[in-house]
Amino acid sequence: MPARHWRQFDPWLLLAVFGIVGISLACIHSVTHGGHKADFGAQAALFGPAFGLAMLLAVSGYHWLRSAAPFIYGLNILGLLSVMLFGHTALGAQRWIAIAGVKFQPSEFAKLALIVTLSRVLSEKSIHATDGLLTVLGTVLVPALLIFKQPDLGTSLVYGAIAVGMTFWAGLPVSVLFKMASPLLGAVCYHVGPWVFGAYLAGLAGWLAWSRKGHKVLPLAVWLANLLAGVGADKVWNLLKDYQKQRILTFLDPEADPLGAGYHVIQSKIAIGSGGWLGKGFMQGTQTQLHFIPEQHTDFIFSVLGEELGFAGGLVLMLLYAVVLGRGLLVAMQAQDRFGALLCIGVVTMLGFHVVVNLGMAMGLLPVVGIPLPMMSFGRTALVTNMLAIGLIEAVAMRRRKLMF
Amino acid sequence: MMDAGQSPSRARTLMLGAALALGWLAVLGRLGQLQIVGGADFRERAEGNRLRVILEPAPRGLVRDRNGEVLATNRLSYSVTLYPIKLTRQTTEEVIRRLGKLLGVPADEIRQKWRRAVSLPVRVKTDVDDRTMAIVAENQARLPGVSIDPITVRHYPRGQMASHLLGHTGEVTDRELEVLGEGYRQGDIIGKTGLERVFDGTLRGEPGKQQVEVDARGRAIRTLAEVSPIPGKDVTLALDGNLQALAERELQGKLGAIVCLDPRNGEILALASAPAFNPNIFAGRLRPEDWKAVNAPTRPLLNRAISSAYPPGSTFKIVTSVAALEAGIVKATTRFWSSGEFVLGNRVFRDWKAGGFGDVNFTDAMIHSIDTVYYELGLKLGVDRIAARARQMGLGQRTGILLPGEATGIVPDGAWKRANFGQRWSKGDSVNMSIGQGFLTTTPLQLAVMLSTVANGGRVVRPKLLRPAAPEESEDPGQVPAWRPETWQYLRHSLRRVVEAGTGAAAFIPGKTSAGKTGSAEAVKGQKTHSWFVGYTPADQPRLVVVVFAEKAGHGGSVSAPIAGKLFRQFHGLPVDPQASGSATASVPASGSLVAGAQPGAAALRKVPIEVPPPPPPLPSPPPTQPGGDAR
Repeated sequence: MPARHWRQFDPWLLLAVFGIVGISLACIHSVTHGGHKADFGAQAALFGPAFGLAMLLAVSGYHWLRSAAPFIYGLNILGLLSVMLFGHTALGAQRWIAIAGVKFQPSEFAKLALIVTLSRVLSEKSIHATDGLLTVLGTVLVPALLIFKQPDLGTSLVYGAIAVGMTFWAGLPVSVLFKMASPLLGAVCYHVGPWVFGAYLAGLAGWLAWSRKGHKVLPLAVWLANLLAGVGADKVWNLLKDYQKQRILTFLDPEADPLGAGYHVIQSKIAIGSGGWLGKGFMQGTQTQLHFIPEQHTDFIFSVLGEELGFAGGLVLMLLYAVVLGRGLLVAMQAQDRFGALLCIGVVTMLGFHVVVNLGMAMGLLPVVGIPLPMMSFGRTALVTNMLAIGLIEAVAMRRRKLMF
Repeated sequence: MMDAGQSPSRARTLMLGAALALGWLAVLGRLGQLQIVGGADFRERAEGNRLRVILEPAPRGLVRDRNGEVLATNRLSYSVTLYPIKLTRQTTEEVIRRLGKLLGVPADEIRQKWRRAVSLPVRVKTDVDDRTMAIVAENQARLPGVSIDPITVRHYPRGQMASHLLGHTGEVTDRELEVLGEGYRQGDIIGKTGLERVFDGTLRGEPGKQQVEVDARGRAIRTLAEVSPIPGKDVTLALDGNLQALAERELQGKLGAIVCLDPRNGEILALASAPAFNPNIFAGRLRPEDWKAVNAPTRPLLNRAISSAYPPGSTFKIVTSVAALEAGIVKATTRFWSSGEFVLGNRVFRDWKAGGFGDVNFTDAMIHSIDTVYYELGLKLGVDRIAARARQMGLGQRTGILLPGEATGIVPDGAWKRANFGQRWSKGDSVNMSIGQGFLTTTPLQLAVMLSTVANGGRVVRPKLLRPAAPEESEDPGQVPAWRPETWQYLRHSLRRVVEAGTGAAAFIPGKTSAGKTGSAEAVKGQKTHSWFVGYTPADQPRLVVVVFAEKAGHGGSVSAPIAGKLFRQFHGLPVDPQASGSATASVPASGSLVAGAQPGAAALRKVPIEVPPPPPPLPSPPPTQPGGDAR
């Protein structure tokens, strides 16, 4: 281990992570001190080993991951399949499996597996070539569908986000991203009205014909996908579980059912809003201490911070996340190779998506999709996964080309 | 080009960073919006979440009669209560449906209460029986958020006794809340009618308040502040339960009213109206059959003693007598010729007794209730002098009893007739009015006040519910203008003679003195007359005024006077039903034929003496002279 590597180690990233985990443990303690005390202990105790694993990964470097990528990917698919076959069910979904008495969620590790695999694919194949694009699509879709089936809408969305972020960085034209996402737009247009849908299809046809002169199959496929998405959206809607539909409807109008599905969001907004500038004081939040927010130490952990430490506390946390994401992007730009840069981009996209969607959900900006706040929410598999992700960035940082400062 | 092309990657990295920064800023903006802009509002909502005020109803004050007997109290009962705070909306909906089915309460009714209560507990059914409690307990698992809570319920141990005076309680309605305003809340039990309503402020007390901190499931975590309930104050009535019970017993099966006043101070010793109702039926949810019963055509909820006015009939001759004596147009000894008829223009006004009484004096006119004498006096006096005396003695206006719904009655005059019928007052109207017929109406209570002024030497008393009187009822309206000694003498003597030897003989009690006047007022032609008796006892130092009224029941002397006699007996501590109970209720042999003799077109007036025959003074045979006549 050359000393050069240690000089390039990013201390700011690690300090920010320590800050976030510290705030996390305080918040979990605040929620659980009256009841599930065990959760606080479990999370705190796991931090040491998780941090150790991260450092081990940082030290071991990331080059071995490139060769291990197919193996990791295969293990990942196996894990997801085993959840389907003999997983534990909780909250209406099958997400956990137990190995030697330890329960964990393979879908969490699967995020890292996807990042590693995509990094290898995108660093070796050109995204502009059709086979490169298809390989990427296949790599993403298999685990995403397995997780969607569990069902876990939130994690599936994270997969999509990681894929979009990484392929975008790898140079996928925005127009291609648009074409892939366009069926969604088609579904929306269909529901606005037949005239809008017709005009949209006509416009799309014109644009496809103009931009992809000479090609026939792909533009036609995109156009047909739009048509089908529009007409078949109801069928897809019916594929969603009731609670998923309910969550989307509730997002549109949470006050419609204040004691039912909208309850989470309303209570979370009240908790955060009532915190004001400086909050009600640590362990003094009435919403938190009287348990107005179910599952508060997992997905809605931010409401604890918002209520008890106010805008000041929320801002500190968001600045810490900004440091993590910013350092990650910096390391990506300075990475020794494309594989390392892609690893960083994948991790940053994953963490950034988690942060924005979770906070947006806790504050009623986005639907409740069940995405935890990285390193804040209670969840042991997620903590290990996120620490390994940080370890990945550090591994790349320790081997970057330029010296800092 | 594997690890080359750093510059496009750099641009894309920055774009990715920009996208993340945008999301970050949006989230931060939202945080500021919630915490800084909306902070105060959300803080209030958080407080609303955690704080609940639990009201503990104060026990309602007891009501006792003057002898200390409890007429209204509270008893422990149970209510089925729904706590919506513990449930989600869908479960509430489900629970409401199940509860409705189990309890037999329409689900819509519960739903409505639930909506109005917002998130406060909903009393689904109050005063439930053991069977209902068992049903709810058995289904507890399927009825989350439902509990059986102890409550106190108003209870009237004597059932329907004094129901019109006491009134009843019930849950406050939205409209009542608007009127009552301050201090009353949804779900409060308030006095709805009668005394319960008038003295609600005294009886209800102050509910205790407990401010508690609750958790998300609505369970109280700790009490932050507590104020104990202040029990309602007890109230003692002037009412004498024994007189009241007797009055109600005597009215059984009749439509009518009985008022007993202490003429010295206006204390109400009995105030009965028949038919009555049992106020206990309003304690829980009113059952359909009970609702039907209290809304029967006979109107059991109507307080006939104060809320309905009737023609007073011959009891009004007391007022006409005062007016005539004070006007100086007659003396006790003035002689009249009673021929049985009084002719005015082309109209013939008949006496209740065909053929009349012959040569009589003015005292005889009262004793035998001789109509033609009063026709003559009424005509001479004119309406204004009669009406003025009537008003001075408390008629034509509210007596000021504190019970709600008192009627004013009508003391008509020229202006009144013009305003209501567009016609001039006629001489015939005065003739009719002189014997308490025509447009004149009074409530039984007003007649009791009128007779009290006679009994107590000229003071118009205000009927008083409480003993000692409540401040609002302690002041009497005033004094009649001083009457001549001869007027007093005439009234005391003649009214006493009515009971001793006249139409009111059925009210006579041996060993005690009493006085009174009968009345049989025509209500609807061809039907039985309203039966009146007004009287007092003892005759020299009156301590009890009694008014007995029975709607379309027959003649005052035969129906009402015997009842008054029983009340007099009760008052004096004599056996109420003397050994020969048959004698008092014996039939009136001549009455039928007398009624049949009524002349159409004339104000038909009938007075029937009780079978205790009036020993008429030997009258000379009638030479058909027409006293005061202006017959053509």
